[in-house]
Amino acid sequence: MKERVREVAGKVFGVDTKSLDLESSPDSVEQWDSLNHMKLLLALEEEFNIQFTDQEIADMMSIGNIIEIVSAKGC
Amino acid sequence: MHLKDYELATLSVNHATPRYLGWLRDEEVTRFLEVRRKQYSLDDLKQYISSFKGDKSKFLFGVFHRATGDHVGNGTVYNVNYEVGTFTIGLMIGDKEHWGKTVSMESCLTLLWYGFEKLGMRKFFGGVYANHFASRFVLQRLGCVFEAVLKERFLFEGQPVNQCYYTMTRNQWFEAKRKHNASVVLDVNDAGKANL
Repeated sequence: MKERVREVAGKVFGVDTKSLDLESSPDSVEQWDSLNHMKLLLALEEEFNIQFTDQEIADMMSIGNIIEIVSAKGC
Repeated sequence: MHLKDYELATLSVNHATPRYLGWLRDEEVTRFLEVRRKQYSLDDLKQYISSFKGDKSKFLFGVFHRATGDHVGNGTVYNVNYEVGTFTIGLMIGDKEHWGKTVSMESCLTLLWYGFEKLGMRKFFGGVYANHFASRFVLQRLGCVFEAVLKERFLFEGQPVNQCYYTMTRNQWFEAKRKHNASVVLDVNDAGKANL
């Protein structure tokens, strides 16, 4: 699952997944802007067939946070 | 983030142009904005701009691209309550060529600076559609706190949608300003231009 999250993010941002670690965030990934963030959330919902809550969306500001949230949804 | 590519300046009725009107008629631009519910005319825009004159509870700024001088959007500081020290900001970037660049972050930083430092407010409150992920990203990236949800507050494409409220205190603003390396010069000239 972790690798899937990184793959989705890598595809959205157009970067090598190897460059994305748990600490990766909008502060460290130049391509992580508002438009790509929107695409990332939608892509993750589609990839895992889930829907994020308003609180979860507020918390998804690093690859590590995203993995935790997706994992907590039983994926 | 060093503020450098965009600047805000007070709008006049001369800025009520077909270009500006075109933004309000672009469904992609207004998709998450309540202004989409009305058909505007140039006279409506002039009245809207004029309505800010002399009203200390709201301030209207144009967002301009420094390199070209192009008017690319508008920002507002409104619902300014001097008794309780609170305010709200609004932003519409109508020129889609500038989407995905730094315009939203730079504009919001400037608007927050205006509310907190120019007007001396103590807390910002901002509401956004729950599904407007891009806007929520900007608020979160700025350091705003996700504080509340008003369930099914609006209709979005015929379906109820929650409104998410983000807030920022004065202390949080100074932390955000430091984090984003926002070198904002406290200088608003006669034209209302905030020099960054």
